[in-house]
Amino acid sequence: MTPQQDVFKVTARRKQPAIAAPPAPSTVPPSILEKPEPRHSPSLLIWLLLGGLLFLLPQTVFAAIHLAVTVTCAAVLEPLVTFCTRRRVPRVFAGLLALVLLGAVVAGLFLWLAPIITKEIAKLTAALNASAPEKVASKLSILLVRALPWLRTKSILQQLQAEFMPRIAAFLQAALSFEVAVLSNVISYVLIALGVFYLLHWGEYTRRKVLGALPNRHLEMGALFWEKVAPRLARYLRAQALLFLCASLMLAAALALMGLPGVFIMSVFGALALLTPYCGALAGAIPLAVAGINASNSLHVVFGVILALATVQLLINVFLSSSRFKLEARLQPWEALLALFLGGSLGGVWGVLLAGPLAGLSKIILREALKVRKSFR
Amino acid sequence: MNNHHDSVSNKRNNSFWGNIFRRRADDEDDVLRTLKQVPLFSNMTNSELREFEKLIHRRNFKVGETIFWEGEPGVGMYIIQNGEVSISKYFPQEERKVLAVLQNGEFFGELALLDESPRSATALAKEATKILGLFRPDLFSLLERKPRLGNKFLFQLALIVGERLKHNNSEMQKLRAQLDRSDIIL
Repeated sequence: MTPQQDVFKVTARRKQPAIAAPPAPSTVPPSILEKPEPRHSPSLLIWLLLGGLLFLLPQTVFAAIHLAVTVTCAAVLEPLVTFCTRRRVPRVFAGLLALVLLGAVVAGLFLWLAPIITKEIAKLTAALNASAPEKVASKLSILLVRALPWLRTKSILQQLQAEFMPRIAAFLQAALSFEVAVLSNVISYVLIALGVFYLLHWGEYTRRKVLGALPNRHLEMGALFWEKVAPRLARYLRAQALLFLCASLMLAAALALMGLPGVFIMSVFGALALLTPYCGALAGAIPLAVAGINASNSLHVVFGVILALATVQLLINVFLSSSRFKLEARLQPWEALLALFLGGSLGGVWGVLLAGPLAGLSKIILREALKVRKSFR
Repeated sequence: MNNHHDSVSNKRNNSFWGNIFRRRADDEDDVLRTLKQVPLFSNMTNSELREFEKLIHRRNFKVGETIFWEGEPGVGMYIIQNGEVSISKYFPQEERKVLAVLQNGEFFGELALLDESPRSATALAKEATKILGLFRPDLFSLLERKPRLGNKFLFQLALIVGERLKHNNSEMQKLRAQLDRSDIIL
């Protein structure tokens, strides 16, 4: 036993005096070193922030989706950038390399998938519109006019105007909307690429700047919060991307076996819905079943789609969710349900599809914020 | 002119606004000069010091402002660039005791770079103080990006912690000798 261990082991038993002297009354004034009680409840601030976010979300869904895609891409590419910088590649080049790689993958996927997606959209639209009541009514009116030509009482000019003007307007609208859509998509991709590069290259710098803006008494709290949250969020986002990929592949295989149209789009929608635990399968089954029943006019498809989604979710839960990163944000059933309701009411279809991942992110952030705040009281 | 200089100086000395708005060039020189005085960075080249300069958080503290509280989780170490910091500890049976008063170029809280254990003492600015903070997340990010430099720093930190351990051991041995000589039954 070393001397210092010996010293630690010693319990000093002092010789007790015969009559213990009473403790002297403390005359020390309360020192400025005594820690003050917190002046307000932090939970109020958190609830106010949450309320503000919920209020702003519908107005900023477009920006939020771009931001989510940007952050997810940055989180997925970060290991690659770190790998390169460890091999003495400057971070700028590593970020650019990651960006070029991402661009190549996206372009390749786009070139490969664009024709498939176009065909699938056409098929799905046809399938969904086949039973629409307006379609039936318009078909009926055309048949009536063909059968009874005397119903056409308008002059030729009026007929021309009536027939061609809407077509020209529709053509112009389509052309313009196509150009606007292309421009908007190009701007989106450029913005996302710039955002990803910014996060990869200047993410650390931005973090330090944000920390620098905090007041002194919250500086360590902010640093600790970031230390706890950032790796968890990155792991969670990578895990969600992996889950999405696996679920969409499995669903695509299952739907293709059933012979449904629009396998790619339906599997993507279904996989996004499956990211919400417990009720994701049900939320994803509804649009898939509607599309399926319209395409095949058979109720068996509904059961098939539900079975496929349930099986994929089961497989995900058994084989993938047990991995360490999925456990970062294990949503309770009521939380998943609440997230679906909130997502649906605030963000529509996209809100429902992204409810699970967003609820998981929010849960990680809130949980860590509360933990850190508590440790600093 | 003088008034303008005073207002700029006041603005920079203000602990809140001074943390956000600061001049860059003279700041960098000051930081490098301060880092060179610190034993943790003594064997580093200028370019290596500039890497650390990028990671450093510069903070201004007012008189009597607390830098960190005893018992709170530690996140990083601090280096005093200009000013005085008192390190004090609360003892249950006694009042709060000031353990040390640190001055320019001295550093404290370095063990928080290694683990998350709670702060063992409270640090308080005795006068308007400029402080440089190096936090664990920044060090870990440096270790990922530039492992050689990170390891060099950690090795130096280990040397200093080892020196302190040796010093503490010798102090404890002295205390033990004093205990042996005193009227305390062991």
